[in-house]
Amino acid sequence: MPKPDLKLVRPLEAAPAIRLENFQAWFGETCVVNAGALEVPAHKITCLVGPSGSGKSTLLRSLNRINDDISAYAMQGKIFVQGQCNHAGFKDITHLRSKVGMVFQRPCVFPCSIKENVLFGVRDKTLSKIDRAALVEDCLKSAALWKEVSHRLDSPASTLSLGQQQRLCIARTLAVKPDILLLDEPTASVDPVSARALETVIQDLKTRFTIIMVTHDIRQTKRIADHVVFLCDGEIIETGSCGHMFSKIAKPKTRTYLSEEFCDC
Amino acid sequence: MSKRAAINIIYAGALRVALLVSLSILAFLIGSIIWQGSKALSFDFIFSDARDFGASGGIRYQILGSLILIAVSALLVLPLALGTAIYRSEYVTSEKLGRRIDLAIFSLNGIPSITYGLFGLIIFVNLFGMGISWSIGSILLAMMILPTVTVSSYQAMRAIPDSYRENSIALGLSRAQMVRRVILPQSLHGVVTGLLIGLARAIGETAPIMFVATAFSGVTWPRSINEPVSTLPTHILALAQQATNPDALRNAWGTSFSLILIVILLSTLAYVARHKLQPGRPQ
Ligand SMILES: Nc1ncnc2c1ncn2[C@@H]1O[C@H](COP(=O)(O)OP(=O)(O)OP(=O)(O)O)[C@@H](O)[C@H]1O
Ligand SMILES: [Mg+2]
Repeated sequence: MPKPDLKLVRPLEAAPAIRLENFQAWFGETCVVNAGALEVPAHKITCLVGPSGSGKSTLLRSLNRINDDISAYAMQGKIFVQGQCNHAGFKDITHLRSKVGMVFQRPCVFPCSIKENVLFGVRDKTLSKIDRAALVEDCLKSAALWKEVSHRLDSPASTLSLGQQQRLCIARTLAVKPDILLLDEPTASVDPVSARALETVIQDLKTRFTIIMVTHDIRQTKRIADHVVFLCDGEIIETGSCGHMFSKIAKPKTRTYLSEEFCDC
Repeated sequence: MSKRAAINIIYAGALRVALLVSLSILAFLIGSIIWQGSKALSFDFIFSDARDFGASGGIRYQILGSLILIAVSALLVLPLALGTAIYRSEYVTSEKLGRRIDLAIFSLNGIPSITYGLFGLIIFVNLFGMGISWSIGSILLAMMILPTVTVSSYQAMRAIPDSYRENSIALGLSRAQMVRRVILPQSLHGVVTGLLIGLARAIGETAPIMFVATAFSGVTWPRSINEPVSTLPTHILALAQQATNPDALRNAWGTSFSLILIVILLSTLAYVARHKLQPGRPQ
């Protein structure tokens, strides 16, 4: 049976991929994120920026509930992923996590081959060998890694360079077929050239995925963001389109931070 | 020479003496066992039955009995130790509960081995009326080495970087899948090493099994789970009690030598397992 074209199924003006309501995140007695309301548009790149410790990672990790394993962590309010509450709306947490994929700051490949890494999260037991090979190729191509590794899919993933490992992590996440990609400083541990390559990868992915990305690189934000969320001390100071956030009409705090001046918000 | 330099020399000298004393005790022990034991050890000795309460003949059923005991205790201890270690490492989120489990494991480790023997005698033999049987011995040995295997497995699991856990659950793996596909393969070296070290200790134990699992003469291989066996350490004990008989004494040395060889084999395997199964980690 031919697969339906996803583009046709999707409504024209897509609903927000993620919506927060009165969201707060706590570690023990301290409230580290007090986001209030936030909407993340679908099929756009949304960059989460702000000083260190402002709660960007905490916010990101709340979306797919990776934080739930930390005993001191608690949240309030609601998070809706594609209109469904990320607690009650999914039949189990693994389902949520396969819809909301995540790539971490430090690439972490599993101690097995490149191919096995790509297939690590694939749960579908019915996939034939050919389907699997096709999936591996597809995901590695989307992560712009195929050319470099196609001849050595069976060699250990640890033999890849750090930048390649990060792209492998992206490919591995894509193989689970998520709708939303969370990227926590994906370019932070690679050199500037690999970082630019990754940016291209990320930009190519936005046609198929909603991307939320934490970054410390203001220029990177300017290059690839469609939408920017500026966080400071756990509060969302301002959100808006990239053009708005980098323009003169943005709030003074935002302007100071995004112009890479000293900020004491 | 300054006072400080003198103190340093004396200090270093004292350390050397301490090392030398420990090494010579070890060398003397092993040396005398090899020296005395090799007189008794032969192909015949290892593969024939004991006669005259061990004073003549060999130790084949003793070797068999010891191996049965530790093999079955390995089967018993493995699921328990793995379960405890996995639970402690991957499922306990409360610090307080974790500390309690640790305390329980370490107390279990501190129990003298004769206590296990008495426990087995009172519970299994007297209360349950199971009679003297090797299966009780295996159960008691499994209980005794449970902490060793658990702690070794647990430590290997704790050494796995959290990034592996985060990355696998972020891919939508459930906790059970993460344990099976990441935690177990990555901690295999700790599990195997702990098990082998535990077994090396268990095979030399007399106290936990002498009341409940062994008989001193006339045993062959067990035909049911409710039969006593004879083991190497209890055989040594029996032979040493006939110390006036030079043949019995010679066979006691021979048996000790065989036991030591098995222990060395297990320890060497443990060492190899630790290094060969150690997974490569990123960076
Ligand atoms: N596991 C934790 N337990 C307690 N506090 C935590 C924990 N993780 C983060 N925090 C605290 O939460 C606050 C926000 O941290 P978070 O990692 O979200 O910041 P961030 O914006 O991602 O910073 P960076 O840019 O440096 O990555 C910090 O004050 C941090 O100390
Ligand atoms: Mg962070």
